[in-house]
Amino acid sequence: MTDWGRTALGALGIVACAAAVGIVHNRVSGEGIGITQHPVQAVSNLEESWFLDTPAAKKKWDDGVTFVDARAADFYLYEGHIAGAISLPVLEFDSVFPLVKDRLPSPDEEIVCYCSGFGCEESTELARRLTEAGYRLVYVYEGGWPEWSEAELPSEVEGS
Amino acid sequence: MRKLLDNRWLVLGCRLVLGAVFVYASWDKIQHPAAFAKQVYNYQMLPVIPSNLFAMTLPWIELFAGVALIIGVLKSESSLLLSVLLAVFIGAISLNLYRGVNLDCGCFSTAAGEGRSIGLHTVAQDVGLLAAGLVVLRAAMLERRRDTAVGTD
Repeated sequence: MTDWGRTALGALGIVACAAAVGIVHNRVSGEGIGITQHPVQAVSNLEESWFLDTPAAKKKWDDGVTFVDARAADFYLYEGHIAGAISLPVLEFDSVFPLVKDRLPSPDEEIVCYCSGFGCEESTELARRLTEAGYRLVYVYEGGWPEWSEAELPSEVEGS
Repeated sequence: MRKLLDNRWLVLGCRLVLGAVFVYASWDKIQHPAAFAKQVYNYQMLPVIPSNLFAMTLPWIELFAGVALIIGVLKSESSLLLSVLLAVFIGAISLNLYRGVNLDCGCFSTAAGEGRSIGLHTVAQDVGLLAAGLVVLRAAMLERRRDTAVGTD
């Protein structure tokens, strides 16, 4: 076997050892994740929440489900937002939630949270807060505003 | 150029820095597998199950290979592994920069919002580390070839 072949084989050996230790550690670690568990769900502990892609989110929108924008109000106003979405910046949840509560559906109805797409944390945090507030059917639209606007789906810009 | 790459102090420095960076990078990810799995998933390059497996395995590869480089064993294997990983990181970050996605790089911290966002600086950082990895790999392969030639390996 060539030197490169032996090196590649040795590297694969390290990967195999690392995989074995990693899987065992994940299992015994208190912060591990199930192999089939959605990573966003694992972090946010949203028991009854669901994660939507763009077609699924559009279907909810067509069905009249309420969308809630978790970003800061400036983004909602000036960058634009999903048509009909309600602004509920998660960083100001405690002060804004009482103000918009009347516009939200009842806790037994569906509600979709979104923010600035994959990588933003606001939508999952908002979903967690809404779940704590009693909402049982909270969804997270992971692609959020970037995917929605890129797909040229119904949108609104309120400021200019 | 060849003389520079053969400089033992340069090779030693690259080996120790690369090893230390990856040991440090692995630590927080090992402690928070689920949080790191979410960061991997955010790159939108793997479905859920491969993403979870990658997140469980990657930090341990970084730790094993980093420790091996620091103590000076399995140098060619470890530097090859880390160089391949760095090339993958550069590709993944570049792809998401091209897509215009803003996300935590997941380089050193799994805490939401506490890590650095991806950007040209993270690409430059990984290119620098890849250069160090290739310097170590080249030296380790030459050493292995010499050992093979004299029958000590």
